[in-house]
Formats: sequence, structure tokens, C-alpha cells
Amino acid sequence: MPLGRLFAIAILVAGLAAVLVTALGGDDDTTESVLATEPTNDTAADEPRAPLPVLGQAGNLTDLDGWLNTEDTTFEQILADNEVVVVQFWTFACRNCKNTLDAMGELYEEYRDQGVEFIGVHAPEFAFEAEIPNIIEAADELGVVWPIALDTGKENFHEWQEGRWGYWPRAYLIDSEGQIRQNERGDGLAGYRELGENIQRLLDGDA
Amino acid sequence: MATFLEGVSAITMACTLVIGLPTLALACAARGRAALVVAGSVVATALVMWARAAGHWNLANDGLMVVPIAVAIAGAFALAWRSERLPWFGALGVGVVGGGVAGWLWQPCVGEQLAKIVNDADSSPFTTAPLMIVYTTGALLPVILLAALPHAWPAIKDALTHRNLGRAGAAVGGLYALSVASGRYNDLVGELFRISST
Repeated sequence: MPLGRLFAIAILVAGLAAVLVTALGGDDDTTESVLATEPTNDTAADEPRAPLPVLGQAGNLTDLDGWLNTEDTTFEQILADNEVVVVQFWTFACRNCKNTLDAMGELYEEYRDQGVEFIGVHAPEFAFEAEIPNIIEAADELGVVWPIALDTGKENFHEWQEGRWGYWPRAYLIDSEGQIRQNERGDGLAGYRELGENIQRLLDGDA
Repeated sequence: MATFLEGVSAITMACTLVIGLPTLALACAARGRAALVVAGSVVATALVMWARAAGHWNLANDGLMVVPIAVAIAGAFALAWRSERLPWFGALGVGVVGGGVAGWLWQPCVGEQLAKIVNDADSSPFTTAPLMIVYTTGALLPVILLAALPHAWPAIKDALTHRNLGRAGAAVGGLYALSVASGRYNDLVGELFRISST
């Protein structure tokens, strides 16, 4: 058998195996909590932690098409009214964004009454994601009950993300001085657990 | 492995269709040279993606830039149609142009593994660039399998390299170039995704 044919067969077998493994692997959904747990190692708990880095000053949210799940407001007003703000760029048809919504919901429920506000900046990739009735329906289905800023033109999506490279989802943790203290790309659960820990650190003045 | 599987799991996502559909069309247009074209396309898509993440590629892909991008797309498809007459490196080059444009236009939804790659793209280029190729190989796996199929199973080579399939690929390529030029490409893909998922 010619080498080229053997190579092609190997690619086919390996590729089909990968599809099978992925299909059998199921969803990324998890019921694991992202809320900070009490440290079990006393020594580690006693050690002073390095302060969270300051990753720059947060931008503004401008030219929005409105807000959902809140009275009409401004980003400046939200910053002024809260000690900590989490801004997440998302869009409802993005599976990676959906993977983070349980974690966002859990953090929102835990911290909403502690001076922390969550803003989901909805920046659509496709035209059907830009239609407000579709966003309202999707937010309802997906359980997004925290404030949603409608960034239909994606001005803020591009303004906040450096260069010409934008991600869904991307979350920023902002302190009371409007400084970015965490910049979380992608849907990794570990990153959202860290977000919870860092919110608590900012509230405790330990950051 | 996790990076490759994350790429595979992204195949059905609307974000990934943005690169999957044109690469599939390019492979169809290239017919007998699909394997070379797809190989060039996968590597170029990944490396342009990586270069953007690392901050080495900041060229605009909107405004007036859509005109040269659309011309590059049309040129890539025209050459793919004639790729059986090109030397092997010419066919590879067609894939590089097609894939490079796809990587330039792509705005991905980011999972855990891809996030690690883009986070470290600037600081660890020798690790992250190959990983980006691995991710893209997973994301474009159906096209790679389609290109490998006639070589693995010569009995169906005639069907998979038929001129009508090539014409269909070239027609999709023309639509791709026009929709990019008019700034409506993402909307077109979004509609296809919405229709297929309802």
C-alpha cells in the first residue's frame, strides 16, 4: 500500500476517534461551585498574599443601545454606587459564554447585596444576536438576571479589548477606583473561581 | 490533547463556522489538490490567529480594508480552481492565502484551552504557536477528513474531486468574497447558523 494512502487512512482514523471522544465527552456543564471556600491549610491562610495587580484603568461604556434588567443608568453611576464591578462581554449564541453563566449567576447571587454589581455587556457577533427581542428571550432562558448593557455596535467590545482581537467571553474585575484588577479570557471555571476569590479580597480590603 | 479536543468541540459553534465554511469551500474548489490547500490553510489560519493574539498582527479587517481582503479571497478561490495545474508549492500557497484571510477575519469564542494560548501568545511564542495549530486542526477537522478521504479510499476519488463539486466550492467562494466586501459576511454565517439550529 502506498505511504500516502496509509497516511491518509491514519488521519481519517485519528480524526474520527477524536470526534467520537469529543461526542462521548458530553457537555462542559458542571455543577461545581465557583464560590470561595474556607482555606483548609492554616499555614497558607496565614501567609500574606501578594496584592492583585493593577491592569490599567477601566474604560467607559458608551454609545449603548440601552440596558436590560435594570433602570436606565450609566457605567459611571454603577461605578460610583458600588465597591466592586464585574464587567463581562458576552453574546447569547456563544457556547463558551453560556458555559460561564452559571458561575456568573452564582457570584451575582452571593455578592449582589454586598456592594458588588455585575454587568453583562451583550456584544453580538451575528445579526440575529443584535435583535433586542431575541436578547430578552435568550437572557430569560439562560437565567441572566443581572444588568445587561446592549453594545449592539460592539464599540465597547473593541474599545475595551486591546488591538484588533476581541474575545467572547471576557470578564474584567474593577475596583472602587475604576482600576482593572483581573482580566479573564475564555470560559475556564478556575478563572471564575479566582474571580470570586478576588471579589472577596477587594471587599475585605486585602487586594 | 485537550487543546485539540476543544478545537473539535468548537466545530459546531457559529463562531467556528466563520472559518469552517470558507475552508470547506476552498477544499472543494481545489478538488484533487484539496489536501495541500487544506494543509496550507490550517497552518496559515492558526499562525495569523496566533500573530493577532501576540500583538504582531494589528491590521484592520474592516472599513476600506474589506476591498483588498475580498480581492485576496477571490484570487485564492480562482487559483484553487486551477490548482491542479499549479506546482505543489503553488497549491500550498493558495491554502496559505485562503487560511490567512480566514484567520484575519476570525473573532473566536474562547474556551479554556484557547484562552491559555492567547493569554501566553506574546510571552511563550514557541509553545503557543504550535498549540494554535493543534487547536485549528481540531476546529477544521471535518475539512481535513474530507481532503484525506480520496487518498485513503481511491474508489470515491472521482466523486470527491468532481468538477461540479469544484464549481459549488468556487460559487461559495464568490459569495464569500462578495459578502466580505459588503461587510455582511458574519450576518450571512449567523443566518445559516440560526436556520440550521431552529
